[in-house]
Amino acid sequence: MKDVNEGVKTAAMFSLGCGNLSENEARNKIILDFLQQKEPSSTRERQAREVMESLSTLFPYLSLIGKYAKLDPFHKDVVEAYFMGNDLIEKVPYRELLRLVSELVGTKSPLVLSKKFKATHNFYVFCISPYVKSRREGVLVFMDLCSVSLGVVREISPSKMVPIALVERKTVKGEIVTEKMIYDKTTAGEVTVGSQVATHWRRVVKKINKDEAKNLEYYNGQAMNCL
Amino acid sequence: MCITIPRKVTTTNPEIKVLINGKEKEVDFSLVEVKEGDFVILQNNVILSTVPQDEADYLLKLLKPVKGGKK
Repeated sequence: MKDVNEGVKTAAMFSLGCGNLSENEARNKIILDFLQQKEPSSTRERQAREVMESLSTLFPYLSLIGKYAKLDPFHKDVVEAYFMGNDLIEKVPYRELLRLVSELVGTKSPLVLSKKFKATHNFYVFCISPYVKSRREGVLVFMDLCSVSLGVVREISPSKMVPIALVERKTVKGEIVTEKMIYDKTTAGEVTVGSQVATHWRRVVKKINKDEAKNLEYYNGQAMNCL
Repeated sequence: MCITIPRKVTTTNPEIKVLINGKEKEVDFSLVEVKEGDFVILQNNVILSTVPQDEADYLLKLLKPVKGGKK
C-alpha cells in the first residue's frame, strides 16, 4: 500500500496547479488539504483519489498504464510513468493507446498518430490536446503551462506574499528561461538552490532524482517532436 | 486535461483586477507584470502568465460550449 499512498500524493502534487482543478475551488481544496495534512489521513487520501479519478484525462491514462503494468492506477511507478515517463510506458500497446485517445477526443474517424506516441501527459499536451490547432500550430502559452517541464532551482524567495522560486527550464519553443514560479513547500516539499524539479502550471511540483530527470528530459524530447 | 479560461485585466490602479464570471476580482501579480486589457491565466487568484490576444480568442471560442471550461 505504501507505493499506492505515495502515488496518490505524487498525482495530487502534479494535479494541484492544473487549470480545470483550480477553476473548481472545492475540489482544489480537497487536494490542497490532502497535501498539507500533518498526519496521514485515509479519509483525505480517499477524497483526493476520488477527485483525481474524476479527472477526464488523468484517470483513464493511469488506468491504462496500470493495466499493462499489472499495478494499481495510483501506484507510484504508474503515476511517475504518466507525468514524467519511465519503462512502464513502453508496456502500453500502441493500439490500446490509440483506442483511449480516440475515446478522449470523441472522434469516430480513426486518429492518425505516430507510432512513437506514448502514454505520457506531455505527448497528449503536445499532440492531441485542444491546445493543438494543427500539427504545426499550437496555443503555445497554454501548451507551455500545461506541459510538465524539467527545471533547476536558481533562487528561493520565501518571504513574498506568494512564495516564489526562480527556476531555469526549457520552454516548448526550446528556449531556456529563468522564471518566477510558485513554490509552496507545504505541498511541494523541500527544495534547495540547485535542485532538479518537475514544474507544471508555473508551480514547482516536486524535487526529482537523476533517473526521473533523465526520463522527463527524454520523453519530453520525444513528445516535442509532435510540434 | 488542464484546461483553463483566459481572463481579462480590467484595471491595474491601484490593484490588479480581472473579470471572472462578470465580476471584478483582485488578484496577485507577483509572478508577472500586466497592463489593462491583457488576457491572463490565473491559478488560485495568482496571475501565471499573459496570453496573446489570438491565443485567448482561440481558447475562449473553443471553451464556449463547455461551461466553466470543464470537460
